[in-house]
Amino acid sequence: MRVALVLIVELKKRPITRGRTTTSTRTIFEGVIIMAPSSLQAKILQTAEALTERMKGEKPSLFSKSRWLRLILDLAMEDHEFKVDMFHFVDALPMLTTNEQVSQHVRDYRLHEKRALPLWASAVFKMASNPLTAAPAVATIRTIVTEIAKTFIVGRDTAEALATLRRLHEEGFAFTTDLLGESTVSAAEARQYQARYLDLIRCLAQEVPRWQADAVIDNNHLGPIPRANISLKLSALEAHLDSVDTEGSVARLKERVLPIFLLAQQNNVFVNLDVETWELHGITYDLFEEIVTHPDLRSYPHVGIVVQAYLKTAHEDMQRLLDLVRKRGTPITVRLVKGAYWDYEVVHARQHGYPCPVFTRKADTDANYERLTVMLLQHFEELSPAFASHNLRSLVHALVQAEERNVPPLAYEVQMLYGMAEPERKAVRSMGRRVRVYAPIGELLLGMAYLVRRLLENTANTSFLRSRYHEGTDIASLMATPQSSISFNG
Amino acid sequence: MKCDVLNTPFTNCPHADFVDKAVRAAFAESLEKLKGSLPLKVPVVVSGQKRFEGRTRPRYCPSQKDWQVAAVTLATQEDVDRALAAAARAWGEWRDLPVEERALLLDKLADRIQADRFDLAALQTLEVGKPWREADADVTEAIDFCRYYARRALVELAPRPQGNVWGERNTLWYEGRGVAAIIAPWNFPLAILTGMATAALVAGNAVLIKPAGQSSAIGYGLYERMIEVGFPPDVVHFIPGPGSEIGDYIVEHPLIAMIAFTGSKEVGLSLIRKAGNTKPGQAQVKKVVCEMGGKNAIIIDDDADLDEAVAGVMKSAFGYAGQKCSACSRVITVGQVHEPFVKRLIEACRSLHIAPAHDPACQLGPVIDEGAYQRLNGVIANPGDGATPLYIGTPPSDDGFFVAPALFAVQDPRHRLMQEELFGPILAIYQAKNFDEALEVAVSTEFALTGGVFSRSPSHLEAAKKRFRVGNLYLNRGCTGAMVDRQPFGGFGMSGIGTKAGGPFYLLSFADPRCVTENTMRHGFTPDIPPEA
Ligand SMILES: Cc1cc2nc3c(=O)[nH]c(=O)nc-3n(C[C@H](O)[C@H](O)[C@H](O)COP(=O)(O)OP(=O)(O)OC[C@H]3O[C@@H](n4cnc5c(N)ncnc54)[C@H](O)[C@@H]3O)c2cc1C
Repeated sequence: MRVALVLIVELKKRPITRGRTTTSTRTIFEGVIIMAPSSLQAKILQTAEALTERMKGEKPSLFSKSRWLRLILDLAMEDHEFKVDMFHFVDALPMLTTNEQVSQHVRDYRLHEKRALPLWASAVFKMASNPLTAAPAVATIRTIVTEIAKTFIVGRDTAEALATLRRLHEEGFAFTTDLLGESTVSAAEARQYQARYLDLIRCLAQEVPRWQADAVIDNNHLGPIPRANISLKLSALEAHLDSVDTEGSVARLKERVLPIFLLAQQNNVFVNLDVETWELHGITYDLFEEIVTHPDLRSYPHVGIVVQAYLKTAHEDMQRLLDLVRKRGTPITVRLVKGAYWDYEVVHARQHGYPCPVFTRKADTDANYERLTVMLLQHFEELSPAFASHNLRSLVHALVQAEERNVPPLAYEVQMLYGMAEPERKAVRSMGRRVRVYAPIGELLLGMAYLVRRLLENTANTSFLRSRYHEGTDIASLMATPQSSISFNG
Repeated sequence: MKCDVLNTPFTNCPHADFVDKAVRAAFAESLEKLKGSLPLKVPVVVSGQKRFEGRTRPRYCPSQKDWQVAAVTLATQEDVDRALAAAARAWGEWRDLPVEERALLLDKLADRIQADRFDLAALQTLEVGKPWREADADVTEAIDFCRYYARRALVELAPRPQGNVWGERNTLWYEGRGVAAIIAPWNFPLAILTGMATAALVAGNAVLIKPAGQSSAIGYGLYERMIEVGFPPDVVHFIPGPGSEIGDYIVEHPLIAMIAFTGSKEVGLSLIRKAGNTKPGQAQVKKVVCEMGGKNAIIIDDDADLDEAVAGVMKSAFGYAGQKCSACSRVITVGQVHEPFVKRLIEACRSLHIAPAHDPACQLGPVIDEGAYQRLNGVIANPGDGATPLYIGTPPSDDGFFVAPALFAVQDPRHRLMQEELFGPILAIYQAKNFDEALEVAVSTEFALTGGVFSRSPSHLEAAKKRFRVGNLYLNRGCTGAMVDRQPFGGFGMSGIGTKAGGPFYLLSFADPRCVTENTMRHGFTPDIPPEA
């Protein structure tokens, strides 16, 4: 949660890099020759067009659902200052208990003086800014923000979430769920969080067998896979995590995490370790290795971890996972993402004088994602690929590469965040691919940090969804091969 | 003079990146190597002559009381006399060197310290009970001081013209005052000692280094490296020994020109008094650069991000067991944030890992020595009327001087827990009615060193900038960990005389300004009038 604030403070305008490939056949790592980019590119364009045909007229709920959300996103993308003020305000809102407090914050962030707001919107802020008329306006603001949060959060608690997850399943989408919360500052909070996870596993295990079967999302190419799927954030499961004591941190975490994996195995629930900041990266990988080579878990295939393509070490990470699978003799799933902590990593490294762990050109991240996509597909029997992205280029590239390599369609999956790219997700699903939705559960207001992060992600200049749905960039340009200057000779 | 290196801009030496396995291994290796060579023998050094004989005092590891880290030779008044006489003789030549030469030595010293950074940090974990990260940060700060002052010296000490009138030339510059006594504390055993000593040296003073008794081995580590890189042995002398025996003697000595001191308010004020006492034969008025204590507060506003606030307070209050002058020892909560904040803070304290400082798992190490241990336990047992214990931890063992965190709720801002600097893991918590009252309480002590505010209200942050008058105010972060150049450090009130270590113009406190005016008019002509254009 901590990261969100840093992200807000460091909002920056970054240029969008686009371009077209002209290179001829080249060798990608591990000596594999891929087809000439021009023919690959043709297939990518073709597939993208087929997909967009299926998405005609649809917008993600992010850009359509609530009038307010659309308004906020539009303004945020037009007006940098508004973006900062608005997100700071939303970030503080959960802590404000009285109308007077909210009123003061509206004044402090000058939301009542904002230009360019539609009349009805500025009327609400004006009323809220005046202590005498604040009460109804504040109630309206809270309702609206709660509504917005609902776009991204599947439920306040497990019971509420189960209904939504079930509906998702009926619509043909698999899920992975995680529990939002405050950041963990004590052992007591970590234990509580662990208990909530254990509880979640039990609830899911009871619930999901009742659902209607769906051949595409309930199976991979080999057979049934767990319907219930959870994602864990390690920073929430232990307060005392510090790279200076990596061994100790791993040992402490193991005590908390192992019971979760064991219970999940007993109940046929998939467990994924989310990967957070670079500071915790080594700890996370070390822990994962210890857990999945544990004698009781060695042969459990329904475990996974994340590889972040924006990391300069991503290729080594992938290699390490491959070695791990060979060592334990059972496959794992790898969720390939770009990485959610870009601003934080850049700022943190600069402030401490550390080498920057992430690429600083968007195209490098995108290109690395594609390179790792190919690597995953080459080893899909050991590392089950899960392509998590909302970027249609990244996804289509993965689909086309999979087809080129004759990887069975159910041997991999596509993952997207709840509330974020429904047209893409439906289109991919309609092509018979397994799509999993990442669905967070939590108190709506406590989930504000998560909400703000999603809002920032989608209003960033480099965001794919922004260029597609806000700027209306045409598909051909969006499908351009990422032009990276980094030489990948992993 | 080759000083290209000094024309590069200053950058902070990065802290050790412990994410890197090799870095962790290097630190551990330094620690192992050091453990094999204990106890270290620390001599008195006058004009390069080491003396190990005579009275010594053992220094034990605060994490492990029976483990001797060092045997410190105690300097005598006679050592002080000889050192001062030699320093006074050597001073003139040192002062008159081109400033670049002195600055280059500082830069070399930085390189030398950096090369041995983990040895020097490992020694801190054992000698003063500083955990890995903080020990490393102390060493990098020492490096920063050297590099920063070297660069500032070229700017600040350079002669500059004054006025612009034909027929006269005025030049102003700063030069060393004489022999400076460097009286350093144990809590930043390398950084503060290095900062004060190198500032004095680069400004053109000779120095007598008197490290704290608890950190003499680290002080000697600095001295040795200074001599190795080329500081003249007559300009730098190393005089370890108890403050009570030689401290006053040094301060009152007629050959001392200035004193740089960091430590408690009591000692600081007494030192200022003694320095003001002019002795027969004394050549000049003594100047004192003095950094004293703090009773620093962090305000938790009712809209604060509690995730951040709890983490920030934990780090500021219990980092190095609260033994930093910048440490947070008061928390002022605003209104209804009190309860949820305190609840989370108590749990955070309960989960703090108390361990020997050389164990990388240590989050809270021991306090510095038996005296501090007894004193702090006394305060915890008897905090005075009107202090309600919220949480009193239990130390894991009595092998070392471990004091567990103690939290007290206090209703009266004048309570001793809200006023006295305790220098330990003891935190007083006061609930203010509103932000306005919080600001009032925050500045209601005699100190004015650091402070912090966690708030998401721009108008409150603005008010804090104006009214929370302390030397270093931190908004939405903890109140410790000032970085050289980025956060020039130091306070006023009873916290110090207003100098800013690691900031611009600090060096000028170590120098006297001189102005030379030359009349350039001879027989009605002056070269100052330019030829007709
Ligand atoms: C199902 C799912 C699970 C996820 N789990 C995780 C997780 O466990 N850990 C995690 O870290 N993230 C996770 N993410 C988030 C993910 O890393 C991305 O932040 C997010 O998906 C946006 O990337 P994109 O490919 O969808 O969109 P795009 O708009 O194509 O890419 C945006 C991303 O590009 C990168 N980027 C932006 N600017 C630059 C720059 N200047 N230089 C280099 N790179 C830049 C950043 O990574 C940014 O997030 C997950 C995402 C999904 C969909």
